[in-house]
Amino acid sequence: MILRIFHSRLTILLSGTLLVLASCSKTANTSLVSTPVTSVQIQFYNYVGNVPLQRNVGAYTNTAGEQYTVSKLLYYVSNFQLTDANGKTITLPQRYFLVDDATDSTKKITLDSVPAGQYTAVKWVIGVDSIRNVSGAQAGALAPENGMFWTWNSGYIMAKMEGNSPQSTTALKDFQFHIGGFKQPYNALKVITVTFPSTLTVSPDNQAKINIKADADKWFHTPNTVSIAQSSVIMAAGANAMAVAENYQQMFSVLSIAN
Amino acid sequence: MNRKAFYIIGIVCLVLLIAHACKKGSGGPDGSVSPQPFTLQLPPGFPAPVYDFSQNPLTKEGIALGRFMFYDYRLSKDSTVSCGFCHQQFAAFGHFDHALSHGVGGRQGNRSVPVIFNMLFQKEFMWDGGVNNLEIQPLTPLTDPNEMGVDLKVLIGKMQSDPQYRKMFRDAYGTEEITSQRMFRAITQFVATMVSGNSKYDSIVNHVGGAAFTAEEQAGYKIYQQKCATCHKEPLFTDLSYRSNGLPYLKQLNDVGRMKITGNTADYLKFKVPTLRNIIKSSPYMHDGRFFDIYQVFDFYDHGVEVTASTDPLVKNGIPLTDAEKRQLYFFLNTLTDYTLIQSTALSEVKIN
Repeated sequence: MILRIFHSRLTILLSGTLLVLASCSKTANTSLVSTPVTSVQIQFYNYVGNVPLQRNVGAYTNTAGEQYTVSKLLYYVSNFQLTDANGKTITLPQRYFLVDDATDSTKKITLDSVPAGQYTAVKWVIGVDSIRNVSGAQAGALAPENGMFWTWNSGYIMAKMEGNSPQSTTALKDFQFHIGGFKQPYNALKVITVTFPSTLTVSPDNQAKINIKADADKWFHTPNTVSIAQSSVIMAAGANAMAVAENYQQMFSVLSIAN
Repeated sequence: MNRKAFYIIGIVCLVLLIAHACKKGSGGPDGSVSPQPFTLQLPPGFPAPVYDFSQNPLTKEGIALGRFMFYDYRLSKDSTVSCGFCHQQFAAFGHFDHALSHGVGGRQGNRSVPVIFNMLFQKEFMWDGGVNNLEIQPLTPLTDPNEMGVDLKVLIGKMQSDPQYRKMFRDAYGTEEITSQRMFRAITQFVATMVSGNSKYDSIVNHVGGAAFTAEEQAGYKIYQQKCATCHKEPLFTDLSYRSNGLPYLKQLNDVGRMKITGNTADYLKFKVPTLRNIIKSSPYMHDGRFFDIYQVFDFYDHGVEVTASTDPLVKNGIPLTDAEKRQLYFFLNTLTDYTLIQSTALSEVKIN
C-alpha cells in the first residue's frame, strides 16, 4: 500500500522533473537543439606507394633499396576532431577504431554525433591516448585479445606492420614493426590533420564520406630512412619506434570526399 | 538563477537515486537478481586503495566468478596450471618451495612467484613494475608461454561454450556475455579481497585484546625499525620503490630488472621491494627465489652484498646483524604472519568439476 502511494507520487515527481528538464534545455540550448547531428563515414584504403596494398602477394622496394612483402598492417585511429568552415574545432565523442588490413569491415569507420555543417579538415590520433594505456582492462577495439597490447610492459601497440624481406637479419627473414610507447621521452602518439580538397557538407540528408589513403611504404621513409637490415624487429618503445611513428604520421592523405 | 540550478540538480539527483533504488529491487528479464554489493573491510591505518573501484564495484557474484577463474586450471593451454597453482593460499599466495615460476608443459619462468595479497594498494605490478593496472595484471601470466600459455581469443571461446561460465557471468554482470574485460575485472575483484592486515603485529599496534610482543619479538621489532624499515615500510612493509639490494647478478638468468621496463641504466638490477608481511610463510626469497631460508637472507645482508653502480646506498655497506639479532628478527617477522589470510575460507580453493 505504502509502496503504491509512493509509486504514484514518484510518477508525478518524475513527470514533473522531466517537464522542468525539457523546458530548461529548450530555453537554454536553442542553438544546439536546432542543429541536427548525423554521422560521417571514413573509408581507409591501404596502399604501398601508388598501388593498393596486397598482403603477402605484392612485392615492394623501400627507400633503403630493400625488397619486402607485407603480411600484417594494423593501426589505431582515435580522438577525432573536425574543423568547420569558420575554423572552429569540433571534438567528437571519444571513440577508438582498429583498422586491420585483413578485415575489410574495420576499414570503414563511422563517426557519430557530428553536427550538420560545413567542414574543411579532420584530425585524429594515430594510436591510443595515454589515459587508456593506464586504465586497466578495455573492451571493443581496445580489448587485449586484438593482439595490440604489450603484456610485460603495459601499453598499446599503436600500429603494427609485419612482413618478409631478404634483407632481414632474423632466421625467418621477416620483419616486425610493433610501434608503441606513451611515456616521454618515447611517446609514439601522433596526431594527423588532413585537409579536404573542397568543403565537406555534413547533413542528415546525405551520408558524408571521406576516403583516406594510407601509404604503408611511408613507414620506411620521410623524415627517417628505416632499414629492415638495420632494425628487423621493433617491439618496444624507444628511438626506433619513434622514428617509424614519425614516418607513418605522414602516411594518410585524402583520396576524395563525398557529400 | 543559481537557486534554479540547485533545484534542477537536486531533482536530477533524486530521480537518479530513486531509479537506482528501483533497479536494485527488480529482477532481470530471466528472473535473475542483480549482483549484491560487497563491502571490503580494510585494516585500520592502511592507505586508501590505489585501485579505482568506480568502474568495477565489488559484488559477491563478481568475487565468486573471479575466485572460480583463479582456481580453474582449464584456463591454461593444457589444463594443468591455474592462477592458484602458483599462488598458493598456505604460502600467502606465493609458490611454496619453488625458486622460479612454473607453467604449462613443464616450462619454467625466470623469476619467483610474488605474493599477491594487498595488491589493491599498489599502482604497479610484477617484480619490475612493468604492469600498470591491477586489472590487466592477469593478462601476463595467462598469455605468457612459460606460464598459462593461452591465446586469449581461444580462451574466451572456450569459456563461452561452458554453460557454467555463462551462468556465472550472468550472475555477476546481468548478461551472459563473456569478454576479456569482464574476466579481468572479476579476477581483480577476487584478488582485491586478498587483504592482509590481521597479524599479531597488527593486533599489537592496534591495541587489540591486550596483544603484546614477547621480549624477543620486541627486540626484533626494534632491529627492524633501525635496519629494515626504510625500504620495508609500515604498514604495508614495503615502500613499493624499486631498488638494487646488492644481490649478486646471475649470468644464467640475465635479469636486468626494472631497466628492461624503463630503458634507463640507472634502473639496472632494480626490483620492487617485496613486503615482509607473511614472509615466514612465503619462502623462497628474492626475485629469483635463490634463498630458501630467511636466515640466508639475513646472512646475505650481513656479508653478501655485491656493490654495483646502482646498488642502493642503504645497503652498500651491508646490514650487520649478530646471531642474536638474526634470531630476534626472525621472531619479529613471525608476528607478521596473518592466519586470517592463509586460512580464510573465502579465499580457499574451489572445486572445479
